[in-house]
Amino acid sequence: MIGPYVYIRTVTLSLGVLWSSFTIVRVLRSANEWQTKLVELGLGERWWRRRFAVACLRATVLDPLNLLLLWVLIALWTLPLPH
Amino acid sequence: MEDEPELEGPADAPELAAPAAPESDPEEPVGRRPRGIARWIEQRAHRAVSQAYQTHAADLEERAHRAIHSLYEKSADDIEERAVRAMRRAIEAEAHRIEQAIEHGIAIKKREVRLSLIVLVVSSLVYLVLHWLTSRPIAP
Repeated sequence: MIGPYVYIRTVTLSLGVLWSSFTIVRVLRSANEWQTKLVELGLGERWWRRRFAVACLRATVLDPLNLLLLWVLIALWTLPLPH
Repeated sequence: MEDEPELEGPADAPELAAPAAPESDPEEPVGRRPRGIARWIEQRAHRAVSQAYQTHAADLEERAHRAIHSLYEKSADDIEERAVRAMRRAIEAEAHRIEQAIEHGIAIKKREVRLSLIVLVVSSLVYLVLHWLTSRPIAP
């Protein structure tokens, strides 16, 4: 029998993965639209991919507060549950 | 009023007796029409000017063409340089606008990621508290 805390944490993790997937799809779609616009200005696909990767890193792990929150979340999720 | 004398004869109206020119303007005053030697001089002058114009028209046209072409050649480089500068400024402005849009998007994504992480951390803490409340040993 699955415990209530494990169930709630699984539901939370599933919702987080679902929302993150939707966000990633939306961001990729927006990036493709931007790339189409920038190609007309002579900016190459390689340049845009590099800028996109840098933007993703800056929005997540390169931001100090977001990195701290990530570490706290990982620590909470890997916390051994007392039985 | 009733004794107004009538004008009769060529002596009373000398201008009316003069022969009208074939191309004369009927509304032009008769006294201003060139006549005699003045008319002959005017016709000669007109013919001379017309011949001179016919003789030098092509040369004048060619000189005007050369002058305009020279002026265009002088100003073409300046116009091209100004166009290049304007295009460069437009490209720099567009690049600056794109850079600002990218920075704005990154700032928004930072806030979204931060909000999501805060929600996940708070919910995890709440779940931990719930787990602690439900699994703590019951006092005897």
